Order: sequence, then C-alpha cells, then structure tokens
Amino acid sequence: MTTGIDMKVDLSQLAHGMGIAMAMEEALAKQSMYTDLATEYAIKKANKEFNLEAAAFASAGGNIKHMFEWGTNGINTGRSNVRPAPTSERARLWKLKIDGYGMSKTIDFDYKPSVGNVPLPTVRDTGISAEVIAKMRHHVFWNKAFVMETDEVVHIAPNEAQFLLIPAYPNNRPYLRPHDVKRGYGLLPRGTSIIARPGASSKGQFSAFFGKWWNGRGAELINQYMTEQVDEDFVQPPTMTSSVSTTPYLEMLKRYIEQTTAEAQIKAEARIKEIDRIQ
Amino acid sequence: MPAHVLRLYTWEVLKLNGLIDLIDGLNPIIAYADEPKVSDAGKPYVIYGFAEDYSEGFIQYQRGVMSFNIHGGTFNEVVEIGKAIAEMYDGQDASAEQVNLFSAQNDLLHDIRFGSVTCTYFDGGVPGDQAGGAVTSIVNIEYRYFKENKLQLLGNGGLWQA
Repeated sequence: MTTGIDMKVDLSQLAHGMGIAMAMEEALAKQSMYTDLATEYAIKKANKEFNLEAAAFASAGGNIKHMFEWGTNGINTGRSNVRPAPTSERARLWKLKIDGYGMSKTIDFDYKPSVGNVPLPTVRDTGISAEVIAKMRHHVFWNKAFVMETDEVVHIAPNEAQFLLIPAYPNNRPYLRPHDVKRGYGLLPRGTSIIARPGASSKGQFSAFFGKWWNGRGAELINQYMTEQVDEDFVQPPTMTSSVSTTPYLEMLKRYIEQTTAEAQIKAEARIKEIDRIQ
Repeated sequence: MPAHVLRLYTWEVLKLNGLIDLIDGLNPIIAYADEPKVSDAGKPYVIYGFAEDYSEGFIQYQRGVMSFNIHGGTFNEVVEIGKAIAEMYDGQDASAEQVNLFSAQNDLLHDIRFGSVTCTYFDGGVPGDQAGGAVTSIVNIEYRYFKENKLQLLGNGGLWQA
C-alpha cells in the first residue's frame, strides 16, 4: 500500500470556455453529492486503464508479477488450479481504494488474498524426481502480494509435518548440501526454522508503478472523464454576454447548476452502476 | 495479432535508427519467455507484453495496451531506446498511419488496421536489482485497431441451417 495519492479534479478544460469553466467549477463545488459521484466514476474509469496497463507491463516481465494470481495467463505461467485472464478481477491481487468526498479524493490500494495453489516445483527447475513431486501437497500463500510487495520477513518451520521439503531452486542451492542439490530438495526437520525474504527483489515495485501512473496518466484521465461528464450533464449553461456583468452572471449560472443537478445526479449514479457492473 | 505488427514496426524503426541490432540472428524485441536467449549477449533488448480489453465498443474495433520493457547496460542506452519508442507513438492517428503504411507492405499483416497508437507511460532508467545489473526503462502504448474477419462461417448455406 502506498501512502495514498491526493487527487484534485481540474475542470479548466470544460468545452464552455475558460471564464465559464471557472465559474462552473465554483458553482459545482457546492453540489458535493454530484461531484462526489462524478469524481468516483472518473477514477473508476481511469482505473480500468490502469488495470490494462499493469497487465501489459507484468506480461512484459515487469517486476509487478507478484501482484497477480498464480497461473495468470502470460504473467505467472506456473501450473495452478486457477487460470485467470490477465485483465480479469480474479487475476489482480490488489483493489483500488478511494477515500474523500467531492472533487478531492485520495487513491490507494488494498491487498487481496491469493486463493490459487502455489505451483509445485518442476523437475526442470529443481531436479526433484516426478515421483516426489506427485506426492507433494498443495498449499495457498494467501498473503503473497503483501509479503512480496512489502518485503515482509517470513519464518518457515514445519508445523504439523515431521519435515518440510525445500526445493533446490537455483537461488536456494548455495544454502543446501551437495547431496540435497543433487536430489533436488533439502529437508527442514521439526523444531528448526529458516527466515526468508521472498520479496527482496520485488519490494515497492508495484507501489512505485501505481504512484507514477496515477500522478501522471491517471490524473490526466480523471480530469478528462470528469470534464466529459460535466459537459454532458450540464448541456446549456447560460452564456456570458457583454450585457451581463460578472456577478449576476455567476448567480444565473449557480441557479442553473442547482436546478439541473438533481437530474445530473441520477445520470452519475447510473454511470457508476454501469462501470461497477463491467468491472 | 496487433501486438505482433507493432513489434515488427518498432523493430524496423529502432534498427533504422541504429538503436538496436539482431542478437544471435534473433529480433531483440522478444516475449518474456524468450529472455534467456538474449539476456547474456551484452546488447540492449526489449521484452514486450500486451493486454487487450473487449469489455466495450464494437467487436471489430478493439483496443489494447502494449508494454515495452527495455533492458540495457547503461542508463543512456535504455533511455535513448525508450525515448525513440515514445516518439514513434506520440502521434495518435498519425502514428497509426505510419504503422498501417508499414504493414500494408506485407500480405500477412493486411487484416489489421490501426486507428490510433498513443504513448501512455514512459519511465526511463530504473536501476537493476543487483549492483552492475541491467538498467531498465518502460514504455506503454495504447492502440486501437480494426480487424477484418477472414474466417469462413457456415451461414445459411452450411451445416447449421435453421
């Protein structure tokens, strides 16, 4: 989890022109229920883009694969009992978190538990015989994403079994006896434990990508989607002419916004329902 | 597949500009699974991946995101390649036109036409995990494309007549 990214919607790109855009932003700021819904929709829509970009980056070998479920197509290719598509909700081990009300919000993510079986070691990767692999039990590493992203230290010890089997992956081999390396595994007897840092090389990688994306492209998309909604929901704001001075014009605009907000709010709610259904 | 067309186009442009070269006779823009074939050559290479979204729009007009994960020995090397890819795809429909002109020269690539290609993310020069290890740079592009369906369907004249 990052420390949260603060987002403040900027409506200066409204199609109604600079002066009107600023006045509308001011008038809309008072309609906090509408702006809250519209901002939430804009963030959720931008999040769809983020999910797509994260999946593409992970499939290009980006160091954020730990945030995807085991067995995710093209990302974590080891065999598991699940095989989610990279852009599906089931593949992602994080969930977007939106805090705040109105046009200022904080974006962050929560970790989701992994539910897929950890892929068993393979003969090719470890040298363990197929007979031994066939006898191995499956287990679920439910807090995989959290441990890998935060570089949490893990204590491994036999709990119920007499021994735990430690596969001789290339990075484990320096710590195993030659005989263990030859047969492909070492044994950890009850009463002993090892300390591991499975997230040593992935620490903070997803948080960095998340922060950079939302501060750049994400912020740009949120403003764009928000502006599109306001342009669509408030179609005919009173125009500013030379015969109307600024103060009465602002009053007219505020009245227009107040009168049309209820209808706009219904549209905004419908949009959120629709995007939640798709996601 | 659109990502394959973009991969070929990117390779041709980077090669033309002298930024990357064949590695043991292989195109150095590769899928993740092929990384061991090029990673020890001491030359820059690019791992590509992509994801497509079919949740909205017309089935004939789809979109996706392609990611280029650039690996090299020096910061300069990867940033130059990253900047070139970002520049190649900063023109939206103009970039798509360039890709279409390229793919039109190859009969096998005829059935995909791009509507727009845009660079959406560029992160230059991230140091590797180990001291002295590779430096990486990331460029993501969003593409929109039309696909002509060439598959012959059974229709009314086929086995599945109503």
